[in-house]
Amino acid sequence: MSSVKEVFKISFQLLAQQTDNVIKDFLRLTKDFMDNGPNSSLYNKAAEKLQIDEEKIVSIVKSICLMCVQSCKHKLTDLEIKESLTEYGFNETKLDMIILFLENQKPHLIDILSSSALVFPHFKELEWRFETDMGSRSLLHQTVPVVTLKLDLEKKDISESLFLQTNPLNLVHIKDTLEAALKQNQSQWIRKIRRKLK
Amino acid sequence: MNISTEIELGLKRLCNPALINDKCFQILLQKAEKILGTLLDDTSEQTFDNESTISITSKQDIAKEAFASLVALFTIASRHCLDGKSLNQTIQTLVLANTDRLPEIIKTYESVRPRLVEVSKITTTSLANVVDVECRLDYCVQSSVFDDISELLYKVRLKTIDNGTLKYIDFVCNTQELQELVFKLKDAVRHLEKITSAS
Repeated sequence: MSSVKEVFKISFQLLAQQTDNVIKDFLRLTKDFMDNGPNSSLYNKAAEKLQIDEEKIVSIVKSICLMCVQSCKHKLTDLEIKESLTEYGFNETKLDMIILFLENQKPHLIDILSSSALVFPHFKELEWRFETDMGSRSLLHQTVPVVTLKLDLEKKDISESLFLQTNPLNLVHIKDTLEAALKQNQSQWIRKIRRKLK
Repeated sequence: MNISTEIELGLKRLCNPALINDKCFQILLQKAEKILGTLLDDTSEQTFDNESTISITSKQDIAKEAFASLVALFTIASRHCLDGKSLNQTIQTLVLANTDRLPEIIKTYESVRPRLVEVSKITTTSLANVVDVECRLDYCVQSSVFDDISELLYKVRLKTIDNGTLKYIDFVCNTQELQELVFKLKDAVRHLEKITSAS
């Protein structure tokens, strides 16, 4: 049984031997694979047309897909991708076609990858309203200032609204704390860490 | 301020030395002061149980009725934000039998009033109250999905009190999102300051 690396190599070598139009068809098949999953009838037709085993067609489609995903994961530049593909014997036109395809698919792929990563609820929106409590069942006459907050959080495209309240003093405290935290990322220490870890 | 006939009767009995003697009256006042003054404290129930009605002799049912009326009177008065003077005027018209005891009732009310108002303020339905915030700055280097993330991530924790229960709300912000959050908060604070300075 061949390793993924070998299958990838054989598939790309086979792809590099094909004409521009055939490569275009493969890219179309890959797009369909990404959007709708495997479609054996399409691979069957392609296999008949190109006189290649259906298994090999599927391997090529999956290899292109894998190449796209890995490029996004490792944030490879066009030049790096071109360099790594040249060894399989692609000419400049074919490489450009593949790069163009990858560029088009990138945003969609990054979206899918991001959603599969470890995700915490993200801040999305904050709305506020200033109110005064005028009376309640237990205290008929009062004037208590209240700030009502609607905090929207988002996790994997699912929004959640939280209704909270606070008093003006705490609101100022929250603002001050977060403002100070925001200023922290400009500090020498944080810059030093970023430089070291880049 | 409306007081029901039951409470009115209980108060009249409380001020009647023939039904509630001086010693018993003092004990009832002290009890009311203790219970209302230690509301929401863990010890309040205990004190109520320990100091039983041993010294209240024959007319226990009347003493109980008088005590309930006294506590209800204080609660209703604080609900209406009455001070000692106003309460004095209100009950003077109700309880005419013995006015000697009124000043003592009013004195007790004034001593428990601040605590009662405090408790009344928090005895209400409200949204979770944000009382504090904690923030941590993380630098995301790599993940199982992306080889290179290189992003600053703020982990924000809002400490809230929801009907007496402490709860935390955790979420994350990247720099841009935190800027937006701070901007919104600053906007709210600016408007609040404007309202305060105008009034």
